Amino acid sequence: MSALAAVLPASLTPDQVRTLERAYAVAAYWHRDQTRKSGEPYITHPLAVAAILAEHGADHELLCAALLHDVLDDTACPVGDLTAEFGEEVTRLLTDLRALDDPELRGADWESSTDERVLTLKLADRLHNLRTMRFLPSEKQLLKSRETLDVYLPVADRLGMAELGRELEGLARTRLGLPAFRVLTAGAVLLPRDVRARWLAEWLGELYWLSDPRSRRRLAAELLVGLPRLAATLRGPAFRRGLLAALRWIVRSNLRTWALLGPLIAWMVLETTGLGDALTILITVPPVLAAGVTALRARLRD
Amino acid sequence: MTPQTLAVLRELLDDPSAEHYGLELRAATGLAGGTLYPILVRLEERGWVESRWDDPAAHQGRPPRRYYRITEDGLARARAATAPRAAVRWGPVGDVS
Repeated sequence: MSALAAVLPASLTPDQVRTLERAYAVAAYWHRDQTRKSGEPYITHPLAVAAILAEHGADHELLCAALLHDVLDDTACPVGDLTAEFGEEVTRLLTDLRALDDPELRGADWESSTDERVLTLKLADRLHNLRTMRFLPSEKQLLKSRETLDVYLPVADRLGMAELGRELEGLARTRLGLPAFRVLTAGAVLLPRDVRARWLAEWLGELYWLSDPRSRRRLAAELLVGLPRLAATLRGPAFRRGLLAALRWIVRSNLRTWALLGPLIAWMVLETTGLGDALTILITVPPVLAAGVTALRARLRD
Repeated sequence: MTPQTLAVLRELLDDPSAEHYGLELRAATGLAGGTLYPILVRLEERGWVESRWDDPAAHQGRPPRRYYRITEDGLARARAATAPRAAVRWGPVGDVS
């Protein structure tokens, strides 16, 4: 029960705490054989949703509904049992929440006609689901992210839950704005294998907190450009000296330099679609590269 | 020591007990992300800086952040490194023999 105690606000009366402990026990009982996609016991999800709501100042009824919110949908628990034990209001919150997920039940104007507490519960539920969506199949992740931006973000705005809305948006956009992180993940093969995941985790943590897509793209680009240097740093001074020696050896000879750059130019020319573009690349790229090689030679000369 | 490394050290020295995450140091120093992280790696290798993941309980499923802080050892050496040269020249003169 200590997991629940850590979540509950201090303002609750002893009676309310007892009811919530009971709700937690009932939910844990009905979800007892279920696990999240992450492999964790299912009860961790309703508990996390209750924790999010507690942070937003939810009352004991809403916290109770949060703990029980998936019992009706996902288990055989009878509605009557819940009403008898937790009261009409908690059951109403739960059935209204269930109606939200059903397009036939919720009505066209559900965003304005649904009780604010039910919407708040739905937002908290969605927030925790997005926080843990990495365990879902990727098409589901994309679907949920899209729906969050289109449907739930306006709801969060209307309810004045700016902080929660920002986090929802950040999570959804990070997932949908995937190219930046995907490119970074691909580039990370340059890093030593044993620390690759650690750096990607750190950068994902930073990208996550940047709310607008442009600054995220910019950070990703900076990190990408810096990858070779970070890789060299992580591999230690001996590697750096080796790399430098290899680079010196390559640029000392024209043959070796252009044997390396030639395929690159050929690839660029072949990748372009029109003849004009191909010619432009052939005319402009080699001189630029040649200037680069000259500059590099000057810098590498001891 | 490069000016970029000095900029990072100055930021860490500003409040030696504070922990900084990468994005914060990047904003404060104006360095690009690709420049900042290799500097942090080198400082950590030398024992001037230590880092840790934030508390798992604090992020509730959000991706965790990595925090950097200057070490005791790093504090003394970084102060010497970032001190203006003039201060060194004007310091007390020791035994010259």
